[in-house]
Amino acid sequence: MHRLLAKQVSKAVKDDGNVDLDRLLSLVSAAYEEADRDRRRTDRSITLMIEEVEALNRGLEDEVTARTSELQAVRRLLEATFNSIAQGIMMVSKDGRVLVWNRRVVELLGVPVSLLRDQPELRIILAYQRRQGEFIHADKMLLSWIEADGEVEHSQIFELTRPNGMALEMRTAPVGDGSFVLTYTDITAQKEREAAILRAESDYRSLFENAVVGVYRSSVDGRQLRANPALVRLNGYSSETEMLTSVRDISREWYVDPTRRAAFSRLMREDGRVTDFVSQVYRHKTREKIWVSETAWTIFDKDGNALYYEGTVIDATDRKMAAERIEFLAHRDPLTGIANRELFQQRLRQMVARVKPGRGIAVHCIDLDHFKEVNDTLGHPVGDALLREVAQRLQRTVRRVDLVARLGGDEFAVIQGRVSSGEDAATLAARIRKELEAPFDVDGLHISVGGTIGVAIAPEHGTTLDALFQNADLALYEAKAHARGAAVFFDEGLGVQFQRRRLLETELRMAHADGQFELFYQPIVDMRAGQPVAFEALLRWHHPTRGYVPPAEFVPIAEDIGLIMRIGEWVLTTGCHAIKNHDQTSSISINVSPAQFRDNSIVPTVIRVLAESGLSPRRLIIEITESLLLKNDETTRAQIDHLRMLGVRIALDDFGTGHSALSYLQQFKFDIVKIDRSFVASIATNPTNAAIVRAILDIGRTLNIEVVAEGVEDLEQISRLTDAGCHRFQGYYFGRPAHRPIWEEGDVQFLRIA
Amino acid sequence: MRTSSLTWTGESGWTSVDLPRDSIDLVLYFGARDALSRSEPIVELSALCPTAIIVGCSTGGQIVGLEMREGGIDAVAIAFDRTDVRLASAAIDASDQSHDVGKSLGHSLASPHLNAVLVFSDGLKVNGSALVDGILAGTGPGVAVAGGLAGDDARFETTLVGVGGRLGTAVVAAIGLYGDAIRLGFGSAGGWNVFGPRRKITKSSGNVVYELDGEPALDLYERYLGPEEVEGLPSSALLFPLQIRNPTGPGPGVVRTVLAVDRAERSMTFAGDMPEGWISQLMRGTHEGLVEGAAVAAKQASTELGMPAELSILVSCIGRKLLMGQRIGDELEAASEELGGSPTIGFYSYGEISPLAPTGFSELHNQTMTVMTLSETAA
Repeated sequence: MHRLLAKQVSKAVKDDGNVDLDRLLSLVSAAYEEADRDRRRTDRSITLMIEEVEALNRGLEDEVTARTSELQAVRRLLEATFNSIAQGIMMVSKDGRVLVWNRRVVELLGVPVSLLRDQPELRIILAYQRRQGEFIHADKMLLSWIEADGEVEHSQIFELTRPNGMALEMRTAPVGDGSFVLTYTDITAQKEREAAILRAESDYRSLFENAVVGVYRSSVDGRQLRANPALVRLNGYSSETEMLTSVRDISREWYVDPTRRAAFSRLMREDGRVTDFVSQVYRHKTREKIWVSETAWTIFDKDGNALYYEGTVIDATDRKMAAERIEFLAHRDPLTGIANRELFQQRLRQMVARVKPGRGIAVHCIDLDHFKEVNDTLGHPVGDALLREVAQRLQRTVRRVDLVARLGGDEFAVIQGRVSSGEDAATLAARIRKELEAPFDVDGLHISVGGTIGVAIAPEHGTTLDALFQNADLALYEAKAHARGAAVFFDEGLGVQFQRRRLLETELRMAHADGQFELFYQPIVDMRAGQPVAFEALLRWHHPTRGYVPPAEFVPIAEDIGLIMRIGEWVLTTGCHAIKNHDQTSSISINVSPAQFRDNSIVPTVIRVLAESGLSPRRLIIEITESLLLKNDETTRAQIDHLRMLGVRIALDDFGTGHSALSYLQQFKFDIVKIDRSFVASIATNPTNAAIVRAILDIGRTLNIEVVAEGVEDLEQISRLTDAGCHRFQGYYFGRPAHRPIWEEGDVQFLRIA
Repeated sequence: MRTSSLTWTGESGWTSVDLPRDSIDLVLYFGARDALSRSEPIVELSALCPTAIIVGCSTGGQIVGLEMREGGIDAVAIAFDRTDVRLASAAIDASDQSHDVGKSLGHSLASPHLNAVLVFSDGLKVNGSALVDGILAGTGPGVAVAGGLAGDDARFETTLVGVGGRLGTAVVAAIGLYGDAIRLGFGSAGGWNVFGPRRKITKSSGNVVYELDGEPALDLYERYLGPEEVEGLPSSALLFPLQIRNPTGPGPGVVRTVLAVDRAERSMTFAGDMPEGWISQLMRGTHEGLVEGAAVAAKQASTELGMPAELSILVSCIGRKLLMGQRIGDELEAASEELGGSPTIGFYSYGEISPLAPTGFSELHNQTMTVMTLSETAA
């Protein structure tokens, strides 16, 4: 009986010993149910497990496929890498066959691909190389390896120079199972670099030995390690050994000013180098003082720690002396030997900074009166001697704490120190005036000039260099305008007018830089030709807020501030180019300021502009005014002659006004005379003027000078001028000044009828 | 050492004790929860053995000799000749206190003479492996810890642990056995076989597993149990215990049984730690395999003791009983054959505690038959 059934029967036995059949059957039935349930559970588990295992299998298959494809990609990548690296690689089996090789092997060994196919024996390849003469430069070690048919028992490195000059490094590396790997590297470039370094070292050594500058190497704590012959000589020794044994700490025993060593060390610490570090030092052996310029730098190891210093030392004694002389001269006026503007400003800046209430300073700006006349009449040498005398007198007048300077031309200035009140300044100003009023004795000449003085006091009139100096200058300006020969103290009211003028000056300078100047062109017409023969270039300033400013308002200022040269040059250049581009025949008439003649710049400027523009000199007319001729000096005449020699024509502008000496026409050679517009305007109403016009025209005809009538505005004027023999006209009737040289054809027609 | 078995039934009350009342040192009782819920049996037991330490718990069926009994209460009274016994007990509110509670119990019992600790714990509110670790941390090494987690048939509702005349839920009782005279043998074996794919514990916290291989843990169990047995969760999950092992550590791993499921969270609570990253594999049992397992456990315990056992305490898993049904007696017979007819008592539990045979280090087991053999040496 099954054990379970036996148990069930025993459980079903009643107290009376009989079997309870119902109880037994229910136990048996329950056991069957348990078994069924267990079977179903088992079936279910097996089914699910199979499903899961299958799913897992599928997953694994996919994984294997993916991994295989990845591996293939990696293999391709490795192959590509293997074949593209710079090294040649061969893998040799333990029986000496080349199993794997890359393309680079072919290039580096000079063996044909066919030889490498089908796993050849290494000794075959070596034999081939030998036949090709690849080993003619091989060393003993390599040769013995080749003799042994390339047996590899341990790692070795060989170098071989191939017949084609390539330097090859060959390494052997046993893998462990008897097979091994051979790698070949082209080290030609590396070898060349090494050779270059050797050469550079040799060059450097030669440089070190032969340099004329001292070269050294020292430890960071100042011990001398090397010194080249130049440095040895500089220090008064005869050999490097002598110097290195005599000098323990060069920097400590060297500098005349001991603080220089700390300064040097600090620079080295902070910047790692010093450049042109100039100090006075003792020549070691003789203790003689000399100046040297040091340049030094730090040599670091690869971790950035300072190893030692290197540097050069140059004997800078001569240079230092020269520099001191230059420094001295840079602050001196070469003519008088007193302070120049530079030193004046430097000193004024220092003194202004130290101003305290009750302990002020005064600035006296001094202008000599009539100096220009002295120069013009007695000549520059006398003028210069006078200036030297003035400087001496001023020096005598002031105390030691004061400074006398020449600012330029006949401008002098005095900085008066320790000024406790305006009275102190007034007293000195009076003394100066008195000194300057006394006649000067120059080269046997008695010259009286006198001076005008503008005074400003700090702190009352300003506490900065600029303010103080500007205010003293302003006071001088005021004095020159209204009280020549006097001393004027600065006053707030002086500023306004002055500032207006200063503003205009500033604006003028900017106007030039900003291109605010424009040229207008007014035709000069020849009635006989019926068309313009020339255009006069008229300068206009197109002010950004005020519109067009007439030349009369700004040209004098431009002359004062020296800007007229640049403006004049611009006018000349612009005008010449404009006419050159306009047509083939007509001329351009350009007004030139007397200032351009005074500084002798007109001739070279004209030459340059003509060359640049390619304009024929005959087509250029230079217009000058009578004022230029007043002085009747030689240089002006020479310049006019020079211009005429070039072929440039000279026109005398505004003729008839001012002095208008007819004699000018004889003294100077003019090509053209322009009758002033005032004569033309009154020709119909003023018989005297009409007569003068006729006289000018007669002289013109006689002296063969062209005459142009200016300011022609109506037919009546034309008719009278024509009757008098004038054929060239300029004026609104023929054309207003225009932006370009233009001419309306219609006007010609009209003129012909007239 | 002398023992006397006694039984309580609703109809007859307690059978008599064959030992002098004052000589009894320790009484262990195991009973159906319903029977224990009545207060009088244990009050009576205390009166019967007034000087003894009395400890017991609710079960999923009692083991007495070759028999598995449901209902009623079975007990053994023990009179030691040369062995001291001490009791420590503690309440536990939440399973994350298991280690701390175990440690304080271990501390209470600790002594250079402490030989072994018998533990009977609430079966549902405790993390058994943390509890055992805690006890060992408290006692120090070299102490054998054995016992089990109380059951409640296979209802997974409430388990009871009794100390003295009182019973309660969320209680842990620990009995220390002291001195050189007491000799112990331990055996533990499952007889379950792993099957199907290995699955990684991908999300867990303490003894709660949320995901295996990224899939909710409960989904897997429901699929394997099928519609017929899903309703029986969590007890039906005992049919498929889980073997877990540390993928980087040594050893065959341990078996974990399910204590509870959370259908909303799709999580499952196991009787011991379920570390994230460990590898798990479903297990299933066959009648023959489990019977063989019981025999192996008994043989280990008997061999280790090395002398005839005076008492054998068997703690077997409720899962084994669920699987074997009426044939559960087969494993008791197989064990008994190896134990040579010594008095035997025990119960079907929610977790077995025993030193692991190869290491001697106590652990919580699941789904196993654990056997403890006791004997005292002569003076």
